Amino acid sequence: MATIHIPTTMRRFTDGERSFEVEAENVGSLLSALVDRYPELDGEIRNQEGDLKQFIAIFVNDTDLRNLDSMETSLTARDEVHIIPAMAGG
Amino acid sequence: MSELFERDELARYERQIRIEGFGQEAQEKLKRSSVLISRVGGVGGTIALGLARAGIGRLVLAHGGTLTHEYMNRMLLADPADVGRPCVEVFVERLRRVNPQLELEAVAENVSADNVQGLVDKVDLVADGAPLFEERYLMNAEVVRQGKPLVMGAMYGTEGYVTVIRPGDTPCLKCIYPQRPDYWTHIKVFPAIGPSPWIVGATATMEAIKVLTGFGEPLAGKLWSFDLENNSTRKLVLYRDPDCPVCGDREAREET
Repeated sequence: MATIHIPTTMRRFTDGERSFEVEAENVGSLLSALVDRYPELDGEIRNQEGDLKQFIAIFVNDTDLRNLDSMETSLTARDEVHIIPAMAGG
Repeated sequence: MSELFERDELARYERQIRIEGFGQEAQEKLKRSSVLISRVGGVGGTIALGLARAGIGRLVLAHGGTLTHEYMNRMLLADPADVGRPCVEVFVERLRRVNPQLELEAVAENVSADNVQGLVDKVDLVADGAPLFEERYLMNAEVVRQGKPLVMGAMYGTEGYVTVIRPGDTPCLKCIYPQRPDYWTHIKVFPAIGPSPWIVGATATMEAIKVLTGFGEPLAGKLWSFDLENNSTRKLVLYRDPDCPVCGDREAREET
């Protein structure tokens, strides 16, 4: 199972969980499994068309998934997925 | 002794000149360099302090308003006794004590569509610590237009990240994040505790030094990300959008 890491801004939708393992073939199915488990996350991650919101970058093993196969990027048990939302605090 | 430096000035930099690959040549480049710091708060103030101590030649500070109590948990350039005073007035006082040879220009305004071109035009590099995406996107577009490097540092709570934008070479802010978060509508959105902006600011300071002097490997095209809650860090490979409306090919830009 791949491990997904949740940023601070989204942990209120995951009961405070910062990371967990998800069984998924690719990034798209991982996000679907994630929002099945935590439905409130859907509005935070995806827009009404089901696309990733444009202030969120997702990295698979430290590479932006747009450099890979986007939502089709396949996952294995050792893969680490990080969600990094845009921030501007100073 | 170099004519570039006043008597005893180089003695302040002796330890960093001894760093392998840095040397007096890098110190001289730093002395000849200028940086715009947009918003001189927890991140930007740390960058200002770091660059002043490292021997930057000239800083342009852009920061409007007066100091308030809520700044005090993270602002290294101000104390509670300064509350109510104009921000840039206090920052200039502190920075002159840190580096008497530093040239300082203080602009008591935040970056806006009206002033961004002139501000970026004054300097070799921009350091972005602004708390609003509107300001960050303005600076991003202007550095791309002028072909100047930008060091971006930002934080939220115990998380933070830093990257270096080199127009024509790396992704720009619009490639990385095409839109601001829905919830980031004002400057009070983000929680903060001192170490987060200080780490962002210290890292951004070193990135500015690297870009200006040619020392080391800047975070060009990489996002250095951390969370102090569990001390995790990552160096992430960013995506450059060939159709980016800011830094993509000219055809794509003209369509927008």
